[in-house]
Amino acid sequence: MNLDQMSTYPDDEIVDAVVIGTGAGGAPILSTLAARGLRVVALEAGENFDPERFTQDETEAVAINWMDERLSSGENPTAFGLNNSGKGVGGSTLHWGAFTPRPDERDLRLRSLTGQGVDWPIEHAELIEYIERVEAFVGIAGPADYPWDPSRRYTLPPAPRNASSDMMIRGCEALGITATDGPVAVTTVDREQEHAGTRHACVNCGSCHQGCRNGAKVSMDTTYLPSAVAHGAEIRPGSMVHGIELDEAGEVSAVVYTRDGVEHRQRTKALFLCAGGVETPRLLLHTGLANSSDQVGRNYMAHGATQVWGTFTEEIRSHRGYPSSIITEDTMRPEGVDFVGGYLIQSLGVMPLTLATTLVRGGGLWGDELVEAMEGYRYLAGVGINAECLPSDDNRLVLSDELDEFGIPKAIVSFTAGPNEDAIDEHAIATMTAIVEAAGATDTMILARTAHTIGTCRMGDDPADAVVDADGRSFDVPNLWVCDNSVFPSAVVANPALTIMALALRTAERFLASRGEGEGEGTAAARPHGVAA
Amino acid sequence: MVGRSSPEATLSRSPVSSELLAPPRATVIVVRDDDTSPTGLVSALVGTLDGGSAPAPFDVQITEALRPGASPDDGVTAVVRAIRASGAPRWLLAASGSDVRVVAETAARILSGEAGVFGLAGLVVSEAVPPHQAPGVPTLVLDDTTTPSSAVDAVAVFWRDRAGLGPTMSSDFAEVIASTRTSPQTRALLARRALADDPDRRPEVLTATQLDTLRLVADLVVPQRAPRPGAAIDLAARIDADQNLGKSDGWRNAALPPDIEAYRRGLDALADLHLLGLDEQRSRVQAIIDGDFEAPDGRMSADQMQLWFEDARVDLVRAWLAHPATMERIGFDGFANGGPGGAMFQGYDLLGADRREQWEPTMEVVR
Repeated sequence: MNLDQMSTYPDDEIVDAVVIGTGAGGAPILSTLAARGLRVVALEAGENFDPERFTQDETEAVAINWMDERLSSGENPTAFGLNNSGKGVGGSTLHWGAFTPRPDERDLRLRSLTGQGVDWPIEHAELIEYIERVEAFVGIAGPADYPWDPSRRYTLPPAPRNASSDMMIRGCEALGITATDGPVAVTTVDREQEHAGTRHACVNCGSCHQGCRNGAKVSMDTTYLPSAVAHGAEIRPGSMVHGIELDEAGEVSAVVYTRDGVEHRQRTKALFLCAGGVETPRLLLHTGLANSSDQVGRNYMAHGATQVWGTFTEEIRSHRGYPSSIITEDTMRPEGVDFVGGYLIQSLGVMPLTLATTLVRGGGLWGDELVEAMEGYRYLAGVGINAECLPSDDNRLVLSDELDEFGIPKAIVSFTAGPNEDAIDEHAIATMTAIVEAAGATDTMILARTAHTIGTCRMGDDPADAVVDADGRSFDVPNLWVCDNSVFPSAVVANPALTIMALALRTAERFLASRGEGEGEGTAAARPHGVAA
Repeated sequence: MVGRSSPEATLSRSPVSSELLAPPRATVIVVRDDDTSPTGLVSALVGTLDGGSAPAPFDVQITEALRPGASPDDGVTAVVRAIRASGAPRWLLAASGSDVRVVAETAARILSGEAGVFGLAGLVVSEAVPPHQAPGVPTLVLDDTTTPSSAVDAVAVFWRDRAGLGPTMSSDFAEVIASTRTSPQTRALLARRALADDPDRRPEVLTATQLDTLRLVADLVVPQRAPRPGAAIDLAARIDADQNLGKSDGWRNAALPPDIEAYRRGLDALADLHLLGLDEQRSRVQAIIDGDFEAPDGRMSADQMQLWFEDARVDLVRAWLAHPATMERIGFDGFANGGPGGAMFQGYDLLGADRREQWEPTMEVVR
């Protein structure tokens, strides 16, 4: 994004806030605080990209992914890198799939309703008000009528359906499953974005995960960050934070980071840590801060994201068009099952290298089978899930004794799917296989995978078992706030980015309220419990 | 975009064309200046057009004559014109004397993606080209005193054993890469990746023995079924090069040593692979994948072999698919999404099954 006219602040100035990370958590905070006139600096580990330099080429498109090595363990080790981790001004929204279902009310009250998992410390209705503000600001495409929420409205026409979409609709119709165009953060018409200029209508190139070159896909560098910069925020790309300094009162006084090989120390009155479900807990464990609960790094969660692909007699070529345009939420709470929670199903388009990687890791293919599967790529259409994942003590991020180039220990993330995850997966595979077969597949293939990095710094009401409170504020360090997918107490079936953006607006406003500055316009209703101002 | 007309193409379901199966014939683009009596290399190549006694084993396309003092831009323009006129999907550039500079400049602009052509396979020149202008490009340096018949023979051997190695693309696929449907930066990536692997390249992070073992592994887990000798991509060499650049995929299993060390230990554990028959080799692969094969030297447990081998399979299949010829083979033209960006960005209007747009290449079905 264009940073030429950006305000800058010297390291030794005590700014009002430093935000670490410019993704779905950091960007809305930066924008909200800057709009209120605060002097704010964002430190982003990745570089600042000109979207016109993005390439579909999967080998090189990893430039927008966090490719610094992480260690994985457990029975279902997470494949990091291009599947779930972003790097650059805009964070993971540079490579995200832009699928924006809303969190289901039942998912936020899982413990109350089922006795398993945990409840969120935030009311669903309040979260939805923030989500609606995000949706209005960034522009979400979707169906005129949403079958599972009649009150919901999407203002932009849905993304055009591709051959995989048609397949899923056909299969679902045959089985009596309701399916429709999904909510997606893609502008389907030319759209003027305040402070960002024209975001061109999606051209259906299918390269969302490799970086959108015309601004059609919502990413932070085409929405919240231009707004932040217009209001005086500074973004410092290439800045890797490796230290946090406290004053005598135990509050953050400065952030230590390295940029272009030079160590800097930015003084600040407050710190927002928004580096994602792996880097946020890693930095806290490295600095030893905010962990009196011993919850930092715990309850790492990954959505079940198993796929079922069918071979069809027609050329599907699923790389064309927005990749996952169809959704069903009929499976959010299946009847007669022995698991809690549920899953959503989406249609799938896929790029070749991504598919091949899943064929190997999730399908176990090699040799003739692997080559023949790829030779049949053009005939493949698929569906995939995003499934609930319960928090577990056994799934945890800790520091290894291997250091990265900045002297920070690399993270080791252990993940093993529990019986509830396995039971959902089994149910979902049966449902998906039925859909694909009903649509006319001559052959089907099940590919196991997970998606998203969730948990590790959970929010809660009890300082003994949560890292931050319901506002995102550390129980231990009063001017340290966390906002990204690490604060999720439970995974929630919906893909996380939309919820992260909503939480970010909320955290920023709670912060402003804590300083005695009140909140922005239209937010009074979003504060049902009242916050000391 | 609404309302933009997009003509639809007819899908071809014909069997694979002979163009892909036959040993590809080289096309040599020869840079000629207005010297009325060219000598040496250029004379030899131009001479093949005279219908002499023995027909040359390659086609020759001559550029328009460059004037003395022509600018580098004029030279590149003339070469690009000749490349397009040839219609060849893959070609060599040839020049001698001061025209070598034109060839070098053209190669540099092709590798940067700036020139709207695709298919550079190598250079035939009378003096060496500065390495920064043609990094990785197979180059044959032929002294101008070489006799015409030896020059022709040398070019033919250079094509057969070096520049012409690797898979071949169809002309219409190469044309899409050359066109404005493909962004300059993407064209640059594909141009470098389409260059033939150097069979004499020395491995950088592996030993020669480990590289040979990895080649065997590659043939087993990603059998390319090359239609002719030399038409396969040297996936193992590409893995070695990537590892040398320190390319990480963002993670590794905590049970494994760092990537390069895992490759070395894993390949050492398979040092006997070349002694086995094909069925035994396949059984070995299956045993590794099943977690039933431990390194004989004890440096990799069966679990570690299984984990490393999964990473290796991913690296190998991704290297195979990254080559533009493989993209054509599997029917993928999604890289051609216009450029450089903004309103220039292009996607697809026809998204349904069995729909194909007019600009798209044929991409015949290989099976």
